[in-house]
Parts: sequence; C-alpha cells; structure tokens
Amino acid sequence: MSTNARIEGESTGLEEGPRLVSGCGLFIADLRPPEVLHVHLVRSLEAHARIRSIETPAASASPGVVGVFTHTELAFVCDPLEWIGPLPPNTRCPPRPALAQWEARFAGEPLAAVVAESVAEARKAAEGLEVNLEPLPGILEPESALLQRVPCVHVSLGGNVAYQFVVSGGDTEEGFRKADRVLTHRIARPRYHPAPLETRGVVARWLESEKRLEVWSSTESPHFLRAQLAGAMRLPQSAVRVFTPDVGGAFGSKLGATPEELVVCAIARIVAPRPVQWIETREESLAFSTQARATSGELKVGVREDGRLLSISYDGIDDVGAYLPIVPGHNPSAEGTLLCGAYQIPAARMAVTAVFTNNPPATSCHGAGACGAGYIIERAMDLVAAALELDCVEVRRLNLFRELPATTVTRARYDSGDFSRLVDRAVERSQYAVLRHETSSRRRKGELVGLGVALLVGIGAQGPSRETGGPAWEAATVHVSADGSAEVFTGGLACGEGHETVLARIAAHALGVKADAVRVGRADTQTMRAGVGSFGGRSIATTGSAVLGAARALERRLRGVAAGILCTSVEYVDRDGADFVSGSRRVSYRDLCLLAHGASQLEPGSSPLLEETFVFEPQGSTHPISIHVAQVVIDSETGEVSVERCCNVRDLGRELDPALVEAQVRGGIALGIELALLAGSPRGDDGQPLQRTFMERPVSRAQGVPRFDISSLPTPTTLNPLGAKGLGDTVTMAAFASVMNAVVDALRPLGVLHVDPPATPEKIWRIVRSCRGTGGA
Amino acid sequence: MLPAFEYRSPLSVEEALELLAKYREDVKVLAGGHSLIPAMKQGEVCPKVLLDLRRMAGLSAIDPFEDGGLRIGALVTHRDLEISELARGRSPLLAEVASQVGDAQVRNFGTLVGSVCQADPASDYPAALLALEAQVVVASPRGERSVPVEGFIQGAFETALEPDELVLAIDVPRSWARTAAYVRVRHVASGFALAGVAAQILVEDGRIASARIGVTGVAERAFRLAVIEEQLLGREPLPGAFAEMIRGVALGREILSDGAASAEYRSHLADVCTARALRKAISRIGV
Amino acid sequence: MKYPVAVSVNGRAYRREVEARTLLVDFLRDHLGLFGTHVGCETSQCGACLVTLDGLTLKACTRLAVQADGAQVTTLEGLLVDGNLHPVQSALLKECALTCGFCASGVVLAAKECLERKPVAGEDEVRRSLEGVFCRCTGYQPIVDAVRSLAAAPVRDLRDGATAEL
Repeated sequence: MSTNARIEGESTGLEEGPRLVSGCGLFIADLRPPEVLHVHLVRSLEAHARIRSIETPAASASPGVVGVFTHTELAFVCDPLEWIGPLPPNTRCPPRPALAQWEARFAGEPLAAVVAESVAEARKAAEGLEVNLEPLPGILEPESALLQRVPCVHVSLGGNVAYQFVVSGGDTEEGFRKADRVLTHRIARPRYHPAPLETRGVVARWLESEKRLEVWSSTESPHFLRAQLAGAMRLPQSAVRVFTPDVGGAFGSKLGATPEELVVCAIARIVAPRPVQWIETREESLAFSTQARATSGELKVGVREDGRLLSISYDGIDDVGAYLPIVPGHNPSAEGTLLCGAYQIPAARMAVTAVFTNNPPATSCHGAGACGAGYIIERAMDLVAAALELDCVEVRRLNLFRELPATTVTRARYDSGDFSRLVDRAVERSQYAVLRHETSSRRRKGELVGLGVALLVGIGAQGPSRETGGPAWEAATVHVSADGSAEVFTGGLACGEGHETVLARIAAHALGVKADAVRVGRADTQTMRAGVGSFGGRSIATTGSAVLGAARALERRLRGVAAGILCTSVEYVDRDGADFVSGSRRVSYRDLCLLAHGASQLEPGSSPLLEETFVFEPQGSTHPISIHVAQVVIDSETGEVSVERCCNVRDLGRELDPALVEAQVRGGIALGIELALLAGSPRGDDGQPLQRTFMERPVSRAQGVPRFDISSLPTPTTLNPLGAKGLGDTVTMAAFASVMNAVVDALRPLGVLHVDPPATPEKIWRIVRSCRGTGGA
Repeated sequence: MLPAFEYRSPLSVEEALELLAKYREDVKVLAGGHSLIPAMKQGEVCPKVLLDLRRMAGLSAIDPFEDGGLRIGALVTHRDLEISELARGRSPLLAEVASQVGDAQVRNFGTLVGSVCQADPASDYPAALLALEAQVVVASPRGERSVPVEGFIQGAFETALEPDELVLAIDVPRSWARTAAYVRVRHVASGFALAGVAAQILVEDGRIASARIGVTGVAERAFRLAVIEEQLLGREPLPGAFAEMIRGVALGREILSDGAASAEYRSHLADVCTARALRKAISRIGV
Repeated sequence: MKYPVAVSVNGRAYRREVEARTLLVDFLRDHLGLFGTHVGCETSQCGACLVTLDGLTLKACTRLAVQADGAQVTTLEGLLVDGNLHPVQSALLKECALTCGFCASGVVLAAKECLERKPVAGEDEVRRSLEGVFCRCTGYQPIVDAVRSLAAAPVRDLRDGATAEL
C-alpha cells in the first residue's frame, strides 16, 4: 500500500486547477461585501505640479456620493506610508502620502478620492471635482536629475538621488590596462509595466467595536502589507488582518503597500461600518501603477585577444520614479553581485545611482534585480564576440566557471550546477551548428537572420537570511485536526504559480499521507501570523522548505504519540502507508489523530494540539540558471522581428512538479520575447503616459511566439532541504537577452553592434534604413 | 460605465427611420457593436439614443445579384463573410479581408456595415471596398440612394451619412476572378492596420487590362492609387516588375502620425504593402 | 430607465430589469453573481470576459445586456455538467495550460470554439483561434497542446451542457 504523496515526480495537475478552470476562483473584484462603497481616485494630470486647490462641493453633492476626500480629510486617520525599520545603506525613502498634499509628483498620482454607492456614481461625481494645479518644471529624464540647478522631486531631500550602490571586486582599472582591447557601449532598458491579466484591488472594513481593520488585497506580500498599513493607520499590527484571495498574476507589480491601499483603509475607517472597495482600471494599472525600472549606463569590457575577459564595469543611472516603492527585500545591490554572470572574470564593478524623477514609481519587476546584471553581462559577451570575430558560444565557453561551487569576484556564490554541461546541452538541443550554417546561407540570400544566446544566472531565494537587508526567511504552520485532515498555512501564497499543489504535496509527503488529505490555507495574516511573501522566485525554496520543516516536525510528534499508544519507544515505530506500526501492533493515522486530540493516551508533557510551525532561513542565495538560444528573422522592409526558434535549458535545482515548472518556463519565455520586442512604457515629453490600454500596450499573443523547446538539467542546491533553486525570472531574462542578442546578430552584417530594447518595428526599420542609406527596401 | 442612454430596437426600416428623423444627431445605430461600443467607452461618441438593428428582418443576408455582385446586409458579420460560400466565390477579396479583421470574437459579432460607418482610418475594409468599387446603400425618408464607398467615407470617423439616414447594406460588384490580394502591417497591440493595401488586377491576353488599388490605415481616409492603376495598364503581370513606380504612393496626403507609427514609417509601409499586394495578386493569376 | 432582459444563462432562465448602458459582463457579474467571467482590459482585447452567446464566443465587455435579450449565454461556469469538467477544461488542466487562472474563461471558451469549428486543427489554426485571448503565464504552448490533444474527441462531447428554453 503505497498511495501516499510523493514529493516529486509525475505531475498530478494543479490542486487549484479545477476551481480556476471552472470559473470558481475568487479574485479581489469578485468580493461583494454587503453595503460596500466604491472608491474612484482622481489623479494628477500633470507630471509635476503645485496643488493650488481641490474644490469638492459639487462632487460631494453628486448622486450616490458618500464622501469626497483629499489629503486634509485623510490626515485625521492616516499618516503617509513610510519605510519600516532600518533603510538599506545609502538609501533615501521619502514618505508616500495616501493622497498628494502640496505637490503632485507624477502624472497619475492620486489627489482625491470620491466614494459612492457605485463605481459609476463615483466616476460621474469625479467629473465635478475642480482640481486647480499649477504646473511645475519636472524631471522626466533620469540623466537630468543629477544636473546642477534642476528641480528636486522631493525638496526635503535636497537632491534627486534615491540610492547608490557600488559592488566591486578585483582591480577593474588594472584589468582595462592589461586588456588587449577595451570595448565600451551605452546600453539602456526602458520602463515597462509587466501587465498581469488581473489588475490590483483592495477591500477594507473597519470594525469599530473591535478597533480592528480587515483588508483583502491582491498583494504578493500580505504580512508586509499589514505592517505598512498598520504603521500608516496608527494601529498595532495585531489590529490589522490582511487576506489574499486568488491573485491573477503579479510579476512584481503587486508588492509592498501603495497609496491606493492606504486610501481605501483610511476611508473604511471614516465610513465604518461600511466596507470600501477599489478595483484598479486597466489604465490605472498600465499608466500609473508601479512599473519596472528604466536603466541606462556605460558598459566597459576589457578583453584579451584570445577572448578572455579581464575586467568589466557598468556605470549606470536607474529611474525609480517619484517615490521609492516600499517593498520587502529591497536590495538593489544584489544585482551588482551578479554582474559576472556565469563567468570567471578577475575584476568587475557595478555602480548604480538611482534617481527620483517625475515618472511613476518603479521597482524590480521580473526578478529581484538579477535581470539587469544578467542582461549587461550577456550583451558584453556578444560585444566581445563581435569585436574579436569569435563565435558567441565560444566566447562564453572560454570564460565560464569550469566547476561549481565557485564564488565570483563580486562575491556571488554559486553552490551547484555545471555551466559547461548546460552550454553543451543547449548547443546540442538547439542544433546550434546547424542553425549557424543555416543563418549564413540565408544571409547570403539577403535575409536578416540572427542567432542569439544568453546564459542567465538569477537569484531565487535570497540569503543568507540575516544579511540580505530585507527579511529573507519564511514561516509555515502545519496543523492536523482530530479527523486527520491537515492544513498548511504560510506567509507565501499563490499568484499563479500553483503553490497549493506543491505545498500540499510537500506536507503530505512528510506527514506520510495522501496529498488530498492536505489543504493549503488562503493567505491570511491571522491564521499565519508571520511571513514574508511570494516574490522573486523564492516561494518553493523558502516557503516549501518551511512547510517541509513543519510537516517533518509534526510527523515526529505523531510518531511519539504512536509510540505511547503502541507501548513502544519512538525508534521502533514504522509507517505502513499512513498507519503507524510496531511489530504486529498498528494504529491507523485517523485513530491516532483522534486519540491525540482526546489527550487521554498522550504521554505526560506532550500537547494534544497537533501543530508545528517552522521558520526556514536560507543560508545563502540560490542561483537558478537558464541558457536560451533564439533565432530571429527581421523583415527588412517593415522592421518586424519574428522569433523563429527558442531553445531553453535550465537548472532550477530539484523540480517538485516538472509540468508546473514547464508551464511557467514557457510563460517566462513568452514574457521575455515580449520584453525584447514589444514592451516599453513610453511617456510623452510632458510625462503623460502613451500606453493606457491594451490597444496601445502590446503583449505576446499565441500567434506571436513559436513553440519552445525546453529541457532541464537539474542539480539540487544544498541551500535548502528540497534542493530547489526557484524559478524567478531567470528564464524570462534569458529569453529576453537572447532575443536581443539575436536581433543584433541579425543586423551585424549591416554593422550594428547594439540595439536597445524593445526592438519595435519602426525602430528596426530606421536602423536598417540608416545602415543601408536607402529607403530600407 | 457608459453614460446613460435610451435603447430602441425597431422591427422595421420604417420604424427605424422614424426614430432617426426624430432624434437625428442624438442617435447612433448599433449593429454588432464592435466599433460603436468601444467608441462609447472611450467617450468618442456619446449618443442619447441607441438604435439597435438586431430585430430588423432582412438585414442579415448576403444576397446575390444576377450580374455576379453581392448585397451585404447591415447585420452581416465578418464571420458570415469569411465562411459564406457565396461571398468567397464572388468576392474572395472581401472574404479575405473579413477573415483578417480583429480576432475570432470580433469576427463573430462585428459587422462590415458597422465597421464602414465607424470610418476608422485604420480599419481594414476600406482598402478592399475601394478596390472593389463598392456602394453603400442608404435609406431615408426621401427614399434609397447608393453612395460609392469612396465618397461615403469622408475622413477619420466621418461619413456622408445624413442624420436621418440608415445604411441598409453594402453592394459589392463581382471581383475579377481571384487576382486580388490584401496585405497589411498591423499595429502590434491594437491589431488595426498601420497600412493595408488591397489590389485587384484583371489580366487579359497576358497584359494587365485593369487595376484597382485601395490603401487604408495611412491617411485620415482610405484612398485609391489612381496613378499606379493607370500605369499598370498594358504591362505584363510579372512579380516584382513594378518596384520603380511604387515610391511614395501616399505622398501628397496628410499622413497619420501617432504613438503607433510616425508618418514617415506609415508612408513607407504603404509602399511596402502596395508592392506586396500586387505581387500576391499576380501570384494568384491562374490559381 | 430600465429595460427588461430575458436571457438563458447556463441553461437557466433569468428575467431582470437593467439600464441600457449595462454591459453584458457587468450584468453577468453584478446582476447574476456569475464571477467566472472576468474584466481584464475593458477594451475588447484580452478575452478574460469571454462567454458564448447563441453558440458564438463573444467578449462580454463589448455587448450590452439589452442586446442579449432572448439569447442563450454560456459562461465558464456553465461548462460543468453534474460537477464534472468539460473535456476542454480537463485537457487544459492535464497540460498545465493555466496557472493563475484569470484568463480561464477566455482560454477555455476560445479553445472550445476552435475545436467545434475544426476538430482536427493544425498548430497555426489553433494559435489563430486564440488570437483574441491573453495568457500571461504559460506562453500559450500548453493551451495549443491541450486543444490538439482533443483532436480525436467525439464532437458531441464538446457541445454545451444544458440549454433552456425561455
């Protein structure tokens, strides 16, 4: 009888699948508490402006309106959002008001909130609001933020620098001196919004008799949100309960606390007992909510004639927008440690100055910083290959770490994996040599075909837990009821990664029961009192390890109880299926749970509560690895880029549910292609967003992506008991970088060395035209 | 949520015309709704009365004319055109365009007539309708009239329709065999045409006897390439033979320029699509 | 002013009075409490609001509830028969073709229509039929594979469950 859950192996499909596929999910917009009021936010139309006045009487008198609120009214019940605890070094984080007080700092910053019986009435009333703004000169280009005598986004800071970091190892200057060639190039990546299919939303209710705030939010980090909201609402954290319903994707855009959430909570307190709801519109999501950072800087590589890199540096400016997003695990310098990627480079230096601008706040969507460095080093490799006329795979092989574990000169420690094998596998799976040959012959026929490779080292779970700046641990509780049914509570939750499935299986395996005997509780700060969250690919590595720890501890407890019942000592208790046996004596799992709760047969001193909590603290960062080969063809007449082939080989450590991992890997590749070819969040010269709907914001569609050849070469990490490195956005960024490399490769015969993303048709057409000096035809 | 309006769904043309005469500029006509409802959501139009054609009889048919042409009723959807044997046989160019409009859901419910009445400069149809020399059939209290599509579409979101007039159908003459093609470059997000060119050529005795080329997406309204049509006459239909005459086909017009594409790029795409549409049409000779 | 709407949704007849401006998607969610139909983009792009109306897939954000008067509507919830998943739903789950699940109504109903129209569709045809729905999680390939895995399924199994006369 071996029907118990296996911890890995064949996929049994998503636990949450039947619910979601039949329309029975419960997302934030599906919540309909009785008597709920709706909030519509009135936002600044100016990128930077002094707020002269906001006249509310007309709007307040509009049908269905319960109240119109500005900073003045909300100041009675809440303070601005502020960083809790020590700020990371060299970081300045100005408080972020629920509603702007004197100044609007980006186009889209909330200025006033109209609360009404329906969304329609709130919106209608908002038209009657008279907002008098005096436009001020603003900072829209990050480079100008550092000039003398320019406006300050936050006057109180006396400058526009949000944070600076330098990560370096070895002597880069000496490396450049010794190098046969020093290559430099300016490279940049644009802002974009990751555009999960579900927008954000929040529902809040104030329970006056209990002095308690209940909040439902589509957040990636419920405990962090609770801490932030409690601080700003002047409440103890114990008085705030955050629930998370099903979340329809996040990609980093639902982290931390935002003014919208605070506004809703503050209003809920004022209009209590009525609950208050805000559901973000697509326009608010794409144009005004937290985006991915833009970055630009100078890349410098020193290389020997034989292709060995001696030194690399990147000196860049990041645009964090008007406010530093208050997110857990904020650790921009983690990016710098990955500048060397998979390569043994004697000297490396990454210096980044992040500046405030009058753009929407921006953070690290798609990966906890790793993405930027990965893209930089992989572009550097191709610049070297082009300069030395070497094959791009050859240059990479020359510089790889031959053996792991290894530590880069910037002190990133890679505990497990085999870069050479991954490269070999990718070369073999993609038939790289054949593709190269094909590329050459198609080029001779005049086609603009390119091959691109990228080898990405990312960060899954950050660690060591006590050195990362932000909290890096995760907690889990496993509880078994008298009938033997088990529940798992964690601080991490699902945003579309299939956590319920995998966590249930981990717990069931450790408890020695079937997976369907375990349920994973919805994220709720009251049932799971502490936690960090689900972001940056940390979930399985940290949350899964915490669940495993808790379930193992509980299983030991159960054995102890069984020993008492079977009149033996614990080392003689075995499991037969779910049952506990010792010699010929046996007690079933169900009976055992019932007896334990009855307490009469418990040993003195042991608790009848069958529950264990475990905190997992990573001892180091896990580093998932992904290598991607992409082939693109450019329509030289229209500039349109088509991705013809994609081959991905990954080492994500142990994969607990390969089918689920594969779905996410494919999703990551499609997003990577989107970032390379489509995504960018352009704003006009006046700071106004140019993408407000999916009529303007392109996304990867079924016809726009090819089939992906994906495979896995896993080496378990030693940094957690599951051996999982996490997925994160390593695959996304590998696909992104390889497609960009392929685009440049396609344009190489025209003399092009670099193209900044996104490689949109008009941009590519212009490049082709200028290189050919003709109409491009 | 949309601003409030009154909803009427008349059962006959007479009843519809009465409502139009009564409410005039305040009324908008709803067929499939796939042009009008998005426009209402964007606040581009704000009708006080919506006149839904869906209960009216006789507007859902694709009717054949004896001379080989077609009458396409106001409720005929893109999907109807895409799969109708009649439409595919008699006007393969129109069926080809219909099969490329929007996505599967737009094609299920959006209508040809609705799209033409919206007069979106980036719509696919006008290129083909110009090349086909289609006519818009309009009813009013004064009777019926036919307006060539070329005159019907007057500018971006502007038509020659009087406030009391109702479009009943579009008449399409029989296409000249299968020597026609539509080629476009789509906006990567919206799917609308940045440039779309429909070309139809008639070949007799190995020479081009007639040519019609319509261009959409590039300017405020779709236009015909009369000069090139003229130049093609008497030429041999060889693929790639006309490159020299396809230079700046959109020059002299006010070319659209927006976040999706600059005027320069659109103008270039008009050339590219013209060359490709001609090449594709020629490649279909004898098929 | 309110207008009567009589509509069959998932085989059940409903009569409601609505404002003319009420969109079908809002009618389903706010008036009938059917939350399986989501609001994703509001501009007829993403497909999260897909339903079937008189047998054709429709973006319910681009139709007025009054236009659905007299129609038969099937939402994602309506594909369950006696609590059992529709073969398309099962195939999608088997291929891990959805993870966050927000796109489910679009993906499931578009896939179902694709199969009904062409039971043995090629890769390109399946992808074309998915043009109007966004999936942000899976890169579409598992969806395509799920649809193609049903190529041999008997067509009758793919039809809707119950339908009711008004």
